[in-house]
Amino acid sequence: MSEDKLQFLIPTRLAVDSLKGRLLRSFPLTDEGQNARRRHFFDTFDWRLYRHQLTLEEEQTDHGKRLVMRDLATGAVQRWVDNVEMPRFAADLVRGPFRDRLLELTAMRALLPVAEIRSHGHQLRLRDREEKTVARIEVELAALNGDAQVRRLPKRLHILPVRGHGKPARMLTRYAAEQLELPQAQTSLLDDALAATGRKAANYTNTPHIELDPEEPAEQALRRILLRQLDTMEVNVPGTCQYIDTEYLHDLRVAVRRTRSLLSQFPSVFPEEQLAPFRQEFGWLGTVTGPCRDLDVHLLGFDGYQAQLKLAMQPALEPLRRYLVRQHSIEQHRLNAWLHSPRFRALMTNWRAYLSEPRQDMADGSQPIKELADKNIWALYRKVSKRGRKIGKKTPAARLHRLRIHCKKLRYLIEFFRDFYPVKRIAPLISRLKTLQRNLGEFHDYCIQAETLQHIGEVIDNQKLAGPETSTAINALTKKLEKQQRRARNEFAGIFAEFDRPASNKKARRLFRRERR
Amino acid sequence: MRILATYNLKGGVGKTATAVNLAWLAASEGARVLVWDMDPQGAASFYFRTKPKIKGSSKALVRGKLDLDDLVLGTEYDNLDLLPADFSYRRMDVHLDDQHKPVKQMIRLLRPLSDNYDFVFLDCAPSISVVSETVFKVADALLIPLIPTTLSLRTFYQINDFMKKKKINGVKMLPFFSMVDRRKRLHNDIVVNMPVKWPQMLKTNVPYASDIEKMGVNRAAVGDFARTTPAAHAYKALWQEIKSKLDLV
Repeated sequence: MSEDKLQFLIPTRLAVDSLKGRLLRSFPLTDEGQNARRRHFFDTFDWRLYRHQLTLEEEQTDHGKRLVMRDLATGAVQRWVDNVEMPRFAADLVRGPFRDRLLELTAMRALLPVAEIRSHGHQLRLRDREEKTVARIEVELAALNGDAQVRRLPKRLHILPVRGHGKPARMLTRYAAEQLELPQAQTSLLDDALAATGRKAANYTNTPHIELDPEEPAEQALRRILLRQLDTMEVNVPGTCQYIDTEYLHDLRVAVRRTRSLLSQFPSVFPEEQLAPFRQEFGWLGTVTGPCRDLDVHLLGFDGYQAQLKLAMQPALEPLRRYLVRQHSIEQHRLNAWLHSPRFRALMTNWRAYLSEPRQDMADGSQPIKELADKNIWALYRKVSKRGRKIGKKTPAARLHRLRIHCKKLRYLIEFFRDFYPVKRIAPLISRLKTLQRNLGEFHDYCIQAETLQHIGEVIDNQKLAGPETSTAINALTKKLEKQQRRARNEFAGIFAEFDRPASNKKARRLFRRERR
Repeated sequence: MRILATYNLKGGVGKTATAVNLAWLAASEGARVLVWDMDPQGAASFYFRTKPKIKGSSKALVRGKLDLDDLVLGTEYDNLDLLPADFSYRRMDVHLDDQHKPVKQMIRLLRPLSDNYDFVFLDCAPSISVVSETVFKVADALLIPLIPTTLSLRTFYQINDFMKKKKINGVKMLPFFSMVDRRKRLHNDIVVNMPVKWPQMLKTNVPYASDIEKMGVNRAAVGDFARTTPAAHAYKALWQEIKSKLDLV
């Protein structure tokens, strides 16, 4: 049975009692009565559940509360857990399969309320001779909750099949479509609830992708890309200030980095004297948002830190966690002040004003964006290859760090313009680059983490914030991190050689230089 | 996927009630659960309001001619499915014995289910046979309900001896007292003394309760129709204890 046929809309002219009457006359259904529910929908800021075609609800009836994960289109229950309050994070749930699945889907993102409805359901069941339910029907009358003015949503008829009993559900579906002439629901209940308040699901993504025409003038295309990054920065400011979860700040910083990267990669499109102040200000923004993010990274990885130590040593690391939390609170305070400062507001306002105004004063501005993208991606690709080849066993860590930055810039560029290239050819390149980035990222992270933790260890020691067992634990952890850092460093040569294979380079050359030959 | 088998050599000790109630509890905690009613009497199928009949025979099933997944039926509860019993299961032993490697064959049968379920409860028939021996080898834990009576304990010793003789040690043995009647002195004595000798006995005792008997009338799990009763609490405590033994909490 096609699953999209399981939900129907009930026209306003058709009264529920009359609909039920027709169903009861046509099938040996049992009327299970009515129930009232409050359905509170939750999702992450970037709609991770919706994007997986799922909804998460806290459902309250007279019998209690339960969390339910449903299929977005059909409303079929995927998982449920009884007598549990909606947690702020999936990780806060009691250990079990529901938590595991939710954590897998939402990771470190907070679960935010997205819609709340009051629902009145009329339940009908089709049972077999054993009194077993073989199909269920629900007529749902829903309205938005929390409003003084009641906003009703379209009435729905749900047909809920029972596994292994496809026939009865098919029969009911056919009846709904052909006899009752009910139109199929084209949108989910959640979509309807959002639309009733003028909102839309999945309206935020941190991916840089926007539709571009290869022939679009570079100046116009870049303005659009940069405006999108600016939107991302601004939309993440409230969540960053409230510290709802760590990813608001992360997305904000990524948008800043992408902006800075574009500004440095396309100098011939915008006049340098106009860009220089913005470049400086985005540099400042990158710097002032750094300390909080660094502490977030430590705190997100803290359980991993503990897991690296012997069980007996793990509790000794707790003072470090407390120190990180305290420092985070101080840095968050500072960050909030920066994000509310006239300097930050001026940057956002001026940058938007600058991007909103078309300019024709630069030579490359009218060049098709694809040509410029090809040229810049290829130049960066060559830079990464050349610099990577020069890295040997004794090359200072700073050079690997610079290579990591170049790789990041290359990745940003490819992601901005990936639609210009055939998926079959760009995907393997991105995959090679990702592997290289992962290695360089690990090396860099272990370096920084070991260094920072050593420093924090000294502070904790000097200020006598913990006993000697904490210093011992931090030292043990630092040694582990240094060991992992050495491992990442040793793996670099092999991973880079894989990235730099002549055949792959030839393919990349063909991909980005084709137009120019 | 964890495989939990409810088993006892003796019948009428509460195996099926245990499988059904624990499966319901697991589902109510967000797990996707399957109960395989392996007993040709079909008591678990009855509790789930399902005719003890599969499309095909146990011979075809054991030989791998039927896809286990296709035989699964939904129940009254979301995320709790049933693989019903079939009268032909009485000969499952013979069919499984025909297989060159019964354990491998059973694992092969269960493997496709691992993507769809977090827990599979095998409700076994009360006998020692090739089927039960195979179950002992594929299950993660053996949940053994024991009535605190001399005869019931004797069957537990027999199971233990069998395990030793066959050198089966990969399965976690989780015996617990079932149908405990506090009015009976013998029950009370055994409940106190047995764990001294057998420290692996679970601490939760499931009482003799009319609510459990009413499962047959309501054809539903105790937690569903008698949520706040001592019986429902006992199964809840038992499930917590089993999960902690399996390192799931």
